[in-house]
Amino acid sequence: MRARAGSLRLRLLGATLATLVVALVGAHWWLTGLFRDHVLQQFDASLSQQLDQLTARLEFDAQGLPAVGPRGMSDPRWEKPYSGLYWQVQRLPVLAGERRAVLRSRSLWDAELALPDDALADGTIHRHDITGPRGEALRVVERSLQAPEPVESRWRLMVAGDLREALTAVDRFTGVLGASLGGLGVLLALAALAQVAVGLAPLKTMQQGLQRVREGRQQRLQGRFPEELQPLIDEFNGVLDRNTEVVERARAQAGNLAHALKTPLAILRQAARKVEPSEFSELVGEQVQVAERQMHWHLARARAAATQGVPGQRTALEPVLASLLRAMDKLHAERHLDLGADDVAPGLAFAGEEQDLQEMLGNLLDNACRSARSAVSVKASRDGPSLRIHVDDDGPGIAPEQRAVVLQRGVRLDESRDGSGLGLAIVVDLARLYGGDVTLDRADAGGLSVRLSLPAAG
Amino acid sequence: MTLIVALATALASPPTLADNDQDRARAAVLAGKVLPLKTLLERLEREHPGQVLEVELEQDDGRWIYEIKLLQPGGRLVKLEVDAASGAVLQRKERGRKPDARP
Repeated sequence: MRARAGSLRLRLLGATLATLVVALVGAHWWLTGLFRDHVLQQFDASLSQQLDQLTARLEFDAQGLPAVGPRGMSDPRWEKPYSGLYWQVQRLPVLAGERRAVLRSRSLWDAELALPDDALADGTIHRHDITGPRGEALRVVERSLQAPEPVESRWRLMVAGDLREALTAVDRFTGVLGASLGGLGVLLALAALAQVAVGLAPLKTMQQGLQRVREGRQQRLQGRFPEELQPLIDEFNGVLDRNTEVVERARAQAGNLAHALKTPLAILRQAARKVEPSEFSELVGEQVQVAERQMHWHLARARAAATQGVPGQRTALEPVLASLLRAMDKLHAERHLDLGADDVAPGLAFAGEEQDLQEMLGNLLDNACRSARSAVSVKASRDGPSLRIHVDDDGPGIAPEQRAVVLQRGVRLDESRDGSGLGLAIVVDLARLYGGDVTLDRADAGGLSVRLSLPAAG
Repeated sequence: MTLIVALATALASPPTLADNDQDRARAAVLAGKVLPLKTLLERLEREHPGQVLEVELEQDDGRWIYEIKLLQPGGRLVKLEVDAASGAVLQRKERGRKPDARP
C-alpha cells in the first residue's frame, strides 16, 4: 500500500509531464506532417506547371512522332546534365524494338527515367517517386497524351524533379521545430515543478503546524490554509478541542471526587481523635490515613493518565520551580535552609501538565528539605528529548542497597517523621506515566541526589 | 513549309531527334565507348571539386571528349577536357580570374 501511495508531488509531476510529452510529441508529428505536405504540394504544383509547358510545346510530325516545338522549354535546368529537373516522352505502350524514351531533356544526358507501368486515363496527372540518374530521390508527375490525327498514338509525358532540396527544407524544419518544442517542454516542465511546489506548500505548512502541536508549542493548528485544506484543518482542530475537553472533564471529575471524599475522611479522623484512645479509634485513624494516601495517589495517577499523550502540552519549568522554592522556603523557614536553583538552564519546558510537574517537584523538594542539614540545590538541563532535573541535599543520604526499596510505594525509612511515605512513589509513578524515570544517587554534598527525567517540550 | 519547320527545329536549342547531345551521349554510353557521366563526375569530384556548370560531349577524330565547366571553391571557373572513355583529364583551363580572358 505504501509503495502504491507514493508521493503526491511525483503523482502530479508524473501526470503533468506525461501529458506534456504526449502533447509536444503529437504537436511535432502533426506540424512536421503539415509542413511536409505543404512543401511537397508546392513541389508537385511546380512540376505540374512544367508538365503543362511540355504538353503545350510538344508537336507531332506526319509519322506521329513527337518533338519539342520551336520555342523550346524555358528553364536552364533542362539543359544542364544531371541538373535535377528532367522530362521524358515515351510511347504508350512501348513498341517492341523502339527505344523506351523517344524524347528526353538534355539534363537526363545518358540516363532514362525508369517509371513503373501505370494505367493512365487521359488528362489526369499521376505521381511517382523513383531514383534519378545520380541516385537522388525524384518526384515524377506524368500524364498521357493522344497524338492528333492521322496517326493514332498515345504518349506518356513525364516531368521529374529532385526532391532533395524540398526534403532538406523539411528536415531543417523538423530539427528546428524539435529543438523549439524541446525547449518549450523544458520550460513547461519547470513551470509544472514550480506549480507543484507552490501548490503543495500548504501541506508543508500543515506538517510544521502539526509538529508544533506535537511538541507542545501550540494547542491547535494555526494560520490560514487554502479552501481545499481548511476543512481538514478545522476537523483536526475539532479533534484536538474534543480531546482537551475530555481531559478537562476527567480532571474535573477527579477533583470533584477528591473534594467529595476529603470532608467525610476529615470528619472521621477528627471523630477518631476525640474519643478516648482505644484500639478502635487507632484503627479508624490508621485506616483513614491509608484511605487519604490512596486517594491522593490514585487521583494524581488518574490525572496524569488522562493527560498523558494529549498533544500540545507545555509547562515552563522556571515559574513552577520558583513558586515551589518560595513555598518550601516558608514551609521550612525555621530550619534556615539554603535553597539554590542556580544551575537551571533557561527556557526549559516540560511536555505535560503544570499540576503534575508541581506534584513531582514539590514532593522531591519537600523530601530534600526534610533530609537536608543546611542546603538543597536544584539543577536542570535538556538532554535531547529529555528534561533532566536533579534535586540534591546534604543530608544523611541513602545507602545504595536501600535505594531500590525507597522507590517502592509506601515505604518510609524514617518512621518517626510524618508524611505519607507516598511522595517518592507518586513521583516515580507520574514520571513513568510520562515516559520518564527517577533514579537515586549520592549527591556531591554528601546527601541524596534524586534524578528526575521527563519529556521536554520544544 | 516542312523545310522551314525543320530548319527552325534544328536551330532551336535542343535538337529533337538522334542528333541531339543527350541521345548521342546515351548511344555512346550504351555502346560502351564512353563512361557514364555519373561515374565520370564521381571520379572527377576527388581531384577537381566544384559545382558542375556545363557538360558537353564532343567527338574529335573518333575520340570522345567531355568538356566540363566547373565553378570551384573560391570562385574559380575551370574548364576540363576529359577523355570520355578513360576518365583521364586531358586539359585543364582556368578562366574567369583575368577579366580580359573572358570570351
